[in-house]
Amino acid sequence: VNGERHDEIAARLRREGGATAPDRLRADVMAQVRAEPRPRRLPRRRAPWRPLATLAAAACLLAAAVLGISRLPGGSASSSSGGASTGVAGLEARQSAGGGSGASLGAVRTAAPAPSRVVPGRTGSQSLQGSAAGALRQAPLPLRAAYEARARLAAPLPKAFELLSTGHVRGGR
Amino acid sequence: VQDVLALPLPSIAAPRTYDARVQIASDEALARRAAEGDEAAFEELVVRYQDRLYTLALRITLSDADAYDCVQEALVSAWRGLGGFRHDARFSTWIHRIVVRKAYDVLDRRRRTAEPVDEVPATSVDSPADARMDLLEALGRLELEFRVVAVACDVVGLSMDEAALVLDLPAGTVKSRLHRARARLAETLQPEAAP
Repeated sequence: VNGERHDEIAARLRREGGATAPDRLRADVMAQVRAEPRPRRLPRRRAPWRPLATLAAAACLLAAAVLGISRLPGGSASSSSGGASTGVAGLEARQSAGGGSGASLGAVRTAAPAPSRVVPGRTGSQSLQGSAAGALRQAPLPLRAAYEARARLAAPLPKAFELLSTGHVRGGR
Repeated sequence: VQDVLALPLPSIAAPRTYDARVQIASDEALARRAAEGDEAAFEELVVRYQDRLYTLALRITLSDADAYDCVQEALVSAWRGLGGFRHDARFSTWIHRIVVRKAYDVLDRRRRTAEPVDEVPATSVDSPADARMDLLEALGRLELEFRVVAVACDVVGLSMDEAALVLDLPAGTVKSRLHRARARLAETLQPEAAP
C-alpha cells in the first residue's frame, strides 16, 4: 500500500510539479551571452621548431655527458670505456706538462701516460706521486671519487675475467 | 528574349540546414559546438533545458524571482564555463548542478539576511489548481534536504544516480531521502486523499 501511495505521489509530483520558464528568460540569457566577449578557442599549434629544440637539447646533454665521462680520470684497463682510459692518459699527460692548463684536448688525448709516476702495487691516489697526486687532490670531489673507484676496480676486474675465462670459477649449483 | 535568357540568374541562397542539424544533435554535441563559440547551439540548449532548470530552481527557492535569477545566472555561467566542461560528463548533470548550487546560494543569502519569501510557488497548467496547490504546498513545507531530492527525482525526473551526481550525495542517501520525502508527502496529503 505504501509503495502504491509513494508511486502515486511521485506521479503527481511529476505531473503537477513542473513549471514553465518565463518567456523572457531565453531572450535575457541570450542577450547576456551575446554581450559576453568570448574568445574563440582555436586548437593550440605547437611551434614547428619545438621538436628540433628538444632534439638539440637532448644532443647537447648527451654530448656533455660523453665529454664528462671521457674526461674522468681512471685506469686504462677498462673493458667498457676507451674514453676513460684516454682521460687517465690525459690527466697524467697534463700532470707531466706541469699542470697543463693550456693544453688542448687533442694534445691531451694523444699524450702518452707517464708510467714512472704510477707506483705499482698501490691503488687509487696512493699509486700516484708528486704532481700527479697534487693534481688529483686539486680535482673536484666527484672526479676524485670516480678516479679512486676506477683505480680500485682496475686491478681485480681483469683478474676476475681471467679466472672466469680459464674456468677456475664455476657457477654455484 | 535570347538576350534576357542569357542573363545570369541571381543565385538562390541554399536553405540553411544548420537548424535541422541542431534539432537532432545531442546535448553533448551542442555543448561542444557552444564551447567553440556557437551561440545558436547554446540557444538550443537553453530552449531544451530552461523549463526543467526553472522548475528545479523554483521548487528549491520557492520564489519566482529567485528561480529566474538562478537559471539566468546558471546559464550565463555555463556559457562562460563551457570551455572547461569535460565532455565525457553529461551536459544535463553539469547544468543541473550549476542551478542547484545557485539555488543553495540564494537560500544561504536569504538565511543570512533573513529575507522573507513573498511569492507563491508557480504552478503548472495541466491539473486542477486546488489539488496542485495542496501538493505543492506540502512539497514546499518539506525540509530542504528531502525537498531537493523529491524535486530532482520526481518533479524534474532525474534518475537516482543522476540526482546523486547533481546534489553531490551518495546514491543510497538519495534513495532513502526520496523514500522519506514521499512518505512525508503522503502523510501530509492523507486526510485529503481519504474519501
